[in-house]
Amino acid sequence: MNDVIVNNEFFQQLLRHQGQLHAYVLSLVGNTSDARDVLQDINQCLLEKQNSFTQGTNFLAWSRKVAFYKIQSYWRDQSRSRVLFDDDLLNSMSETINSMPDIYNEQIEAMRSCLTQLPEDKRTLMQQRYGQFLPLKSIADYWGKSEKAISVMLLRIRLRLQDCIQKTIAARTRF
Amino acid sequence: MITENSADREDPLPELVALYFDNRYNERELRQLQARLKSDPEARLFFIQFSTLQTQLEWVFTDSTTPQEWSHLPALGKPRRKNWNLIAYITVCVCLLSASIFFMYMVTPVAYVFPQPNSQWSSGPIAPEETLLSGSKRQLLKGEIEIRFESGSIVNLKAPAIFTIHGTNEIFLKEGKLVADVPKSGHGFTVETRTGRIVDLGTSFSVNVGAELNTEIKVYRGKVQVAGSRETDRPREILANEAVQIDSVTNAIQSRDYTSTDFIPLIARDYAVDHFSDSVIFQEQLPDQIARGEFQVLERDGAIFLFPEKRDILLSKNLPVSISQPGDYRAEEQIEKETDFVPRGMKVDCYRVYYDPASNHHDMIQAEGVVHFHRPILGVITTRNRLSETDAVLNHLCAGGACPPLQHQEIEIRASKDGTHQDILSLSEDRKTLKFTLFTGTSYVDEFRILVASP
Repeated sequence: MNDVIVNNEFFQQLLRHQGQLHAYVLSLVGNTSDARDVLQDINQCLLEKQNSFTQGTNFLAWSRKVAFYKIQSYWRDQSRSRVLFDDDLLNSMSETINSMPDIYNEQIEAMRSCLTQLPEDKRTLMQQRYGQFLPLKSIADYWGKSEKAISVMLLRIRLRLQDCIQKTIAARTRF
Repeated sequence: MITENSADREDPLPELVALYFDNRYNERELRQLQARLKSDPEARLFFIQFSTLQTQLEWVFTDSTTPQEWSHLPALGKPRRKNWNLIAYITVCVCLLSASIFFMYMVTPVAYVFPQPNSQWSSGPIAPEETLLSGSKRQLLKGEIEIRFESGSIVNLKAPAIFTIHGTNEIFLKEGKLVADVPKSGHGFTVETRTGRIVDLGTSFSVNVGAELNTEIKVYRGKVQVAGSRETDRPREILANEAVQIDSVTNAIQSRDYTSTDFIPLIARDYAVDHFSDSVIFQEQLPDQIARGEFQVLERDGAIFLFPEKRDILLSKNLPVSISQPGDYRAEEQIEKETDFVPRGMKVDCYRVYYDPASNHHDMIQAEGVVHFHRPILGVITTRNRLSETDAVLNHLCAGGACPPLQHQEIEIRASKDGTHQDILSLSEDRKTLKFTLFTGTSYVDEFRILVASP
């Protein structure tokens, strides 16, 4: 990677906001693998358009605007029968995201703490799904359970984690 | 708001959202989720929180910094008097570092695409030398491409195909057929499919994921390790000229008949052979048993084996052959005339053709084939006598002209007594295409030699 690019302020901002952008893309794309591809296209597009960004303005808001057009284009390429978001819903979702506070990094920190509270087997399960990206079938085979059972377990763990994250952040804001 | 008990409520939203992100939904569930998101702002909030959680989990679980490693930080040792500025600063640093690694990983090319003209992705035309990043997923709609990995591994893909690149030396093939040519630097190149995993052990091989999602693997050179997708499946080594299929339902690895047409581009690169029909099987090594004249070595109905026997042979004297001129050959009177020889001073490559049917019955079993060379065919040797006479020059078992005991079969360019069976050879006017129709029984073998001009 070119040092000039890496040390560039714009590039640093892009790095700082990768997590938020990734979350934005996944919220509006849904499919984890496609979301990574779309994020790559968006990164490339943002680097190409960096001259149109005014330093000192809200980078996240600007980058989400660019991302939104890429995501619209993604959905237009999808088979119509499997489309979750039409233009109206995509707009509503994007507006909802833009109106939410940006506490992404605080949530990550809280998540690390919440993960330590999970039983060992549940942490292993999450590691298999989110660290190794194993398909549900492989995880189900590993634990000797049905895919549906694993799916329900994963849902419960995610909800439990979300609950814990919210409580942790709420407790910290009280200090 | 998401809570732990959401999954137990009567509200189907959490389950619908989870099904969606786990990619396990059906059309009805998709429509139900869509209707809910359109009508309910709380549902939209839930969906966004859930997806944000997913990305955060990915970031945390792919980051090497574990929560335990954080505990050595002084500020974390005093829970009542936490220095939140310091923690926030460190968090930002760690996130920045993770983001840098993740971002660099995501924007560093790991492979390049070299498309044939008119090749197309589902998203549009393919730019020459288009870069692929780790995680790049593509659908090849039209044409043919070559992907050159940073590791040196080269993959050829024909449309239709869907694949994802993983790192500098791995590809996930969802649908379609690829041929991988792996140099030493790419040792360990891996192809993953939904039913299995193929790891290169220094080789050229093809992988085909067909309509029923079975994974078919053929090995042209070297060997590969094949395993089903279950962790309990034991890997199996597949050698050159072998083929297997991983069943998409049972995950069983079953042997299949090997064919070589997948490897024509690789064969054409290394040999004078340009193309051949599906009935012809090209193998790089002529087995010594066949060179000695043994049969029942490679038995298969309708399959004609083609081997490079010896290359770059400079002829020190005229070499007698059976056929030296273009034409259709259907009678013994047409062959082995005085003028049928390859003149001395010529340099030739010799190929052996071998047909040995497997069926255990008395009928003669027909096989037809075509081989196209990119250099002219100078002669064909079809009779037992001429095969034996030329062994000293053309058989790799003969060192310095001294040969071990060798036997030969031959083809009969004449009609059978009842007139129904006849071996026929046709050499094209440009001398580059040889067609053959062969008949033989299970107790016999048809064999002949093809001599092609060396470069």
